[in-house]
Amino acid sequence: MIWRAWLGAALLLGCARPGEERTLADRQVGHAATATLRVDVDDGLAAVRVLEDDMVSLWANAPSLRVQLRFAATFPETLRLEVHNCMPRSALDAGLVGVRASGREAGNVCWFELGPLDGRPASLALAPPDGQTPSAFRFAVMSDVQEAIDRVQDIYRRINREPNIDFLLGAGDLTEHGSAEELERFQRELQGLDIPYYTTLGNHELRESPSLFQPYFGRCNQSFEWRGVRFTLLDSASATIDPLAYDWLEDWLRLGANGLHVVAMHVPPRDPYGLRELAFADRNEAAKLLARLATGGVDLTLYGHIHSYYHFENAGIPAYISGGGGSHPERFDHIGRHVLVVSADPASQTLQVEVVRVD
Amino acid sequence: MNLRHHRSIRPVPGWLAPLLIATTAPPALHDPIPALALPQPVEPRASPPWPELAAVFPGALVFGSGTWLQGRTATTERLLLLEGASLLAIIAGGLVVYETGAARHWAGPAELTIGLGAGTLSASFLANLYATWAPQTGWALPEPKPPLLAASVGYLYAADPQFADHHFLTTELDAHLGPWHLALDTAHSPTPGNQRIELLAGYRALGQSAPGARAGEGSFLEPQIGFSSHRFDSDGFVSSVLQIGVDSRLDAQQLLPDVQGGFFQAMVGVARQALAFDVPGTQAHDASSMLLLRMGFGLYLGRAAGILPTGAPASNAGELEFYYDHRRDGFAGGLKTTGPISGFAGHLGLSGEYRFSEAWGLRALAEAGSHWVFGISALLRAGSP
Repeated sequence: MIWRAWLGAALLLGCARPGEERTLADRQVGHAATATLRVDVDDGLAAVRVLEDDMVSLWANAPSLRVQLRFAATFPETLRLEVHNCMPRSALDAGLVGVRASGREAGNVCWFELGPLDGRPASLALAPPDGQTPSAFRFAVMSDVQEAIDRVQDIYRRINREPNIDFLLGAGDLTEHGSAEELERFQRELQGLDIPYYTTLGNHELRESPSLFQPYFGRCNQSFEWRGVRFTLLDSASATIDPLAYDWLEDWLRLGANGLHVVAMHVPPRDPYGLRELAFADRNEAAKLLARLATGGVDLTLYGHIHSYYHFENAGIPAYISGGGGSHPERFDHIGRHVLVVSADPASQTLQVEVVRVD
Repeated sequence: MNLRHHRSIRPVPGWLAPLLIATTAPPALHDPIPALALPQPVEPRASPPWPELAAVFPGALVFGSGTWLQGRTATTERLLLLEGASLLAIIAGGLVVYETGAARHWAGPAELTIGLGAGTLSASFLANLYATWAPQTGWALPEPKPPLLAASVGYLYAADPQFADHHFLTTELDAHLGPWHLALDTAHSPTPGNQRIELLAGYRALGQSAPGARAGEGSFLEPQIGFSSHRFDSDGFVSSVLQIGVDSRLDAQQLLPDVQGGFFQAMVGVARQALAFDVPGTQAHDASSMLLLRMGFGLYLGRAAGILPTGAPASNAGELEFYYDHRRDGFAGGLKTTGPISGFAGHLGLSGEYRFSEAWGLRALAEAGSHWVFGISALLRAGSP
């Protein structure tokens, strides 16, 4: 491990933007085309997993999606739209395009057969009926599963027992090495979870270069709104935020300024136990990020990376580290595997966080 | 035939392992300074350039490969001992980190051990190169003592994409009043909003400039206390750091008796960083601890004339040091490593000073962390030794 660390350090000398490639690739997420069909997911909130002339398969990384379809001169009569990691009770508003059939399969897969198509562009909106209405709800938070994937169903069963959880938010380190096999395994295991899982990546997803995260799960940096609460996921897997993502963050902070705003990322800007330094590589950049989050009115920050549970404040914002996904735990902390369950109430502008132990 | 010379020496006792150069410095500083004379001729095992090449490979894996080919067995043994002790420290610290899952109250000491091991390993590798490549007497002797006053004005470039300010005017003021050391460093961007000021006070407890110090030694042990304030007004925060630590230097000959003109440098300490955020409508402050660890290897530079015809090194005209610095609150930040140690490493640096006369000189700096930092400044000294 030491020689890899030094080799990595040597290779990274002068690499001031290690996340640049991923951040640029974020802009391509949700956009794909064949000779006859072009798909654009607004804000890149889903990865296009399969695209054929008469079939689109998406992996949703947000509860609500808007999808634009454009056809060439030749187009199919019908189109099958599959959305994996689909929010329960999601309904499709296909506009002028008819929905011939629809269904839902195990593992949070929803599908729709669209047609007849007339070659005109189609604008689709997929969301549960109450998704944009501000109302109280709960969500869970999990990170750092890594090599503990064999035991992850324990966590999912525990989350499934919790009432009224809308989705599970991930703060990275889904896998140990970020390989295609591990990412596919993680997605297969999600079939045991009753709710969808929206996530960013962690440093362990960077062990494959380039990272395979985006084709499987979607953008590393993204933001969406759910029931009046804005959620922003940032890519801090390289112990930094890419400058381009800071530009996006400005927009997302503006969008979330008038309501509750939750920001999640993998590596925390600062380690609550400072001597350990499991945090951003540059303390000044960490302070800059926290200053922006605080000025932007962020209400809650969620992190992973450290395999334990911590509650503290950064720049006056409540902060939680929850690395309880089962990977090599921090000893002597008496926590063990756990998830966070957050109760959000846009009406009272409150977020309450509780620890739910799995073991 | 190329005859190298070395003194007859005893093996280093086990406690001299380089787990902490600072801790080895005090007993070493009481030892007599190894003399430049009285070398014993030794028969090299290979002629140039094989020792010089062997210092790189297999020297990168087995320290002292070059000096062994030069027939310098005792130095080879000590380089190997340094390497072994360094690896032992890394493994021991790594085991604690792994077994405890980087537990909060164990991680600090364990990571200090890893850092000391890694720093000593790097410094020892450089010492291995220096021992093989440099003239046996080195290129220069240590400066007898630091000048009463050294002031510099310069320019620093920080290739930092995270902040708008890249160009800084720097000033440094160093005063050595007997054993007392006072320093004031500043960096100002031409546009308002990014200013850094550092104050430091130290006391030479042992070695150069310390009470009872002997002439000719560059080694020292200096407990220090310091404070820095870095304003990022345009980004809405101010970082203030209070630190205590011990800076030390050990002339290479104290560890490697036939290696002269080089030095090991180590600084260990702790700091407390306070961040004050300019957030409208609220008072937001953060505070956290920092592990301070800076380890390096350097060499003394002589006048352009180099080694004198007599074979003795030239008088000191400066020094060059390669180092690892664990702190990440400066302009360079920490290396952006990936994998399990993501965010853990500090930065690497190369600093140097060269004086064209007793009064005038240049200082230069290059650091690689989260971003590159380059600095150069004009140096003026008064009260030179």
